Amino acid sequence: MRSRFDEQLITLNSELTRMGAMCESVISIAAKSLVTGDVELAKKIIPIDNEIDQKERDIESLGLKILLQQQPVARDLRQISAALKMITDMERIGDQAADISEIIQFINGRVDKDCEVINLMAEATMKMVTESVEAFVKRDVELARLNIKHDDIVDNYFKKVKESLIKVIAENPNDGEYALDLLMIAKYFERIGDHATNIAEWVVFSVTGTH
Amino acid sequence: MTKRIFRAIISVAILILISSFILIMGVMFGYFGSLQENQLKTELQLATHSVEREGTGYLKKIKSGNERFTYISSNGKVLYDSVASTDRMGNHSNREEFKNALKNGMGKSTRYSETMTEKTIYYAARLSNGDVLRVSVSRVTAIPLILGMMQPILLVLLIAFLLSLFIARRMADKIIRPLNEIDLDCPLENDIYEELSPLLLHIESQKAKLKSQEKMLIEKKSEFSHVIENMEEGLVLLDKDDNVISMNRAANTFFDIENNCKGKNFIYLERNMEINKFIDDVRCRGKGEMQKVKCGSVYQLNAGRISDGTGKFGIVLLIVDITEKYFAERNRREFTANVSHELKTPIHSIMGSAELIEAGLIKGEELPEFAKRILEDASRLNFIVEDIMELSKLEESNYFEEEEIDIIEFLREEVKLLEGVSKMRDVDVLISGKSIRYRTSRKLLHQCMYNLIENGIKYNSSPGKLHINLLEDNGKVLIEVEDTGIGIEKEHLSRIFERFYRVDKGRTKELGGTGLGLSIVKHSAEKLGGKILVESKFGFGTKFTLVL
Repeated sequence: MRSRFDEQLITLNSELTRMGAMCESVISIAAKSLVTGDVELAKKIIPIDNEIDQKERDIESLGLKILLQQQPVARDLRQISAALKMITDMERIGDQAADISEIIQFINGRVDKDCEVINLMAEATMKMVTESVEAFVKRDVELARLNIKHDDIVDNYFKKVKESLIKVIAENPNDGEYALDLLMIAKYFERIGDHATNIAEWVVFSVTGTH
Repeated sequence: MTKRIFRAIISVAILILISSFILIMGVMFGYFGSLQENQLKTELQLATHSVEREGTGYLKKIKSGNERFTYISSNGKVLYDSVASTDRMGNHSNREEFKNALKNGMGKSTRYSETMTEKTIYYAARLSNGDVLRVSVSRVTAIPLILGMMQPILLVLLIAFLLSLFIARRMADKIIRPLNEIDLDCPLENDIYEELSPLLLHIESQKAKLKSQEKMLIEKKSEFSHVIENMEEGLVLLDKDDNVISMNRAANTFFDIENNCKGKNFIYLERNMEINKFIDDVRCRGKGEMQKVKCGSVYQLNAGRISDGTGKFGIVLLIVDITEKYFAERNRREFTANVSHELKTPIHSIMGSAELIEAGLIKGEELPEFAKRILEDASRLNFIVEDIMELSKLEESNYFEEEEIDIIEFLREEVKLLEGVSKMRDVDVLISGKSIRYRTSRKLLHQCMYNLIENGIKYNSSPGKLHINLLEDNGKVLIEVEDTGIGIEKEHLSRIFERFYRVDKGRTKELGGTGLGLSIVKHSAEKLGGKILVESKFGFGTKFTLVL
């Protein structure tokens, strides 16, 4: 009985890692296509996002099955409930990356020189997602806590992007729509940063039991 | 074991019991039977005498015990019977004992009752008056005796059964205990049953065989794992569920993990979707390869599917660092492109001009201009061909005539040869150093220094300075050529000696040059038994040093 349970837990973890890897992949494509202005690359996000959605459903049903059949307690229960929460955050990351992809296609990959700070923001967010998945894979509480702190960096970048966009609108009122699109992208990155923080928090919870 | 011993004991017990029973019964029954018959005979004789003397009255006096007396007249009629009434008894003239008695004086017969459980023995004797006196006795047969004995026999059997069970268990225990205590690690040191020694000997030889085979296997395994572990290529084996079966050190380095990931899912090793997709692809298609750039190195990933015979597939992944090969390939491609560019540009230019002239599109006054262009490009081609031939000569021949040369004097001559160019480019050439005499090939040294000085002048700033310094260090002659030109960027430094390699991608024509000069310098330096060193600061100048 226990060995079956162990097997299911191992599958849950590897599937979750796979989903994390997909999130890393979409966010890196989003960042790369934004930096290079590659619209074709941005289009590749949509099918991966669909895969992420499917993965969420799979992991959810697996998690519920384990809960029902094995009735886990203590650490195992924490692990499964954390996994069920994490997939929601990962799914949101996928969705927001898909939204970013759509905007990049809409603005035709245009990023002007004076709002290049958004590229830095994209890279910082990408790093956060990678780190949170890394923390999950290695069950590294220290890395997770460090990652939670990194959210401030992304938040600061958001402020800077906002300021530079205000300047763009003030100098060139015709570019208002473009500036708002970029602001949306920045907001999505900021939200992705929050979800990465959430994932890191769930890692801390599943290992230590404190939230 | 217990069962077998029990079976043996109980069957022996039953066999003995039955045979002894039969033996005793047979002997005893016969003995008692003959004893009784004798007794009966004696009694008949006694009675015969007494009846002859006293008449039948005697018979009536006898206390009837087990015997039955019958007095039968000579015609067979029963006159007296000590047990039954004479009226009911029929004529006895047909009875065997009667007939025998009449005939021989004495008769005997035996008759069984209907149930066969009783046997009656009759003895008859003829009296002197012709009548017959018969005495008979009843005796039980063997069957009721056996039936009567059945109960004690069964009791004995039960006791034998229980006893055998107990003894069998004890015996089995006793036999087995030493067997269980045999030390199989050193079989020959046991001394229990002599009968076991062939078995123990066999075990000992098997043990030795196993040991040697195990040793061989371990050696093979460690040999194999050493080979795998120290392979330069990374090797990963995955099972049907993508779990790692084994991976070597090189693979650990590639995936940037420290500890052993045996048993873990591949996704923990590498989360890159590209590589994961590649593995999934290989699972479907059987094999595949991909290139991956990681940490500045280029890797080739070759993967193949392995079937375990049950239709489920494992994966073997080989990771080869092809960085060098990759860049060599890139250099080769660039070289081909450079060669074709260098050779084709003047040819196309010549062909174009010639075609225009042939078509009569060039007016008279423009003709010299086009002729000049053709001449320039042809001479440029000529230079390239000469340089290429020079290089191939350098590569092919190993002997160059040597002579004693005063190097400082030689350098002055070289500078003089290029005086025109240096004046045109406004480059001030300075030669310093003391006079050194050195035995070497003038031709090779000329090729080396001419090209270096020419480059120093051509790629210098205008106005600029070129400093040629001759010195001796540790018995080696050093000729330094230092310019104040544009310098060479770091990324180009390692490649400037390649054929047709040009730092200036625009390949400006005005300076001429074939892209082969430094290649000739390098080859000449090598043939001279020396080497050429270069250091450069981008924007400030370059220093070439020929070490002889």
